[in-house]
Amino acid sequence: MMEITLNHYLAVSAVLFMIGLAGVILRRDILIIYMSLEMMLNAANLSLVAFSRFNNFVDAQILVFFVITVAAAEVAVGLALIVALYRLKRTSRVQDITTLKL
Amino acid sequence: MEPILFWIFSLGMIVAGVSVILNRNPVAAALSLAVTIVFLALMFGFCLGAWFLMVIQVAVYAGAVMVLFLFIIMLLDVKEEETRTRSWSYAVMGSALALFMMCMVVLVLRATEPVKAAADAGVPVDDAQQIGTLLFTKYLLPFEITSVLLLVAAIGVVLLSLTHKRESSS
Repeated sequence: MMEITLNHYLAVSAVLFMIGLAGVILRRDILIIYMSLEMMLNAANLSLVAFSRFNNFVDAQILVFFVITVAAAEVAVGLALIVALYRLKRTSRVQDITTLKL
Repeated sequence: MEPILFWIFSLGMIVAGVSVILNRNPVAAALSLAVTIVFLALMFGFCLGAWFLMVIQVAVYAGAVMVLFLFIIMLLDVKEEETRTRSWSYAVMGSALALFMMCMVVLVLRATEPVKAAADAGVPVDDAQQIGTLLFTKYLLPFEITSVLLLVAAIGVVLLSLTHKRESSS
């Protein structure tokens, strides 16, 4: 079994980020899009923690701590927005929300 | 740091991640996301030695955020997508973009010298103490600003959910 280097972690982080990106583009349900966004944030966290470990630099973990905090606040506000939108439009699918469309 | 653990965690993470975006059932997608997050937390702890972040990740993401997601799915009563409504153009475009960017990342990673773990890798570190010390000395101001951010978010959520009630009563 080969040794795990920083590049392995970065590759896994990139794969996770790309899965999230693909989900944002090809899913139509706003909740699933939101979950994919969370996955992209998590992928960024993974690369930050990997950099922190391999460089012996604990400050990066503080940044991850802040990212998690901000993500939690963002999820709360975003889901409240989705609920408000659902009350207005009775739908959670992005193709039905066309108010800004010409 | 056990290489086998890294492979198990990353494989589980990617499989669950793919299942998030391919599942038609929103509840199943949310549970897959929870699995992804738990695997990521395990990787933080067992492969990277960030035990404090592992606990935070499980508590905040797998605990609070996923419960919020499931609660909203229940509240909105989101149904499965019964018919195949996704258009092929979006699927092709999304996969192509993801693959393209993946290739770029692989090219960059192959071009760089692999970084070996630090000399003391695998030695248990007191990361909770280090993070706590940094948080309350060097990063005290951002930490306090975060509390203001959370307060603003809480007030915003309450206002957003009150709007409808006020309109319907007037």
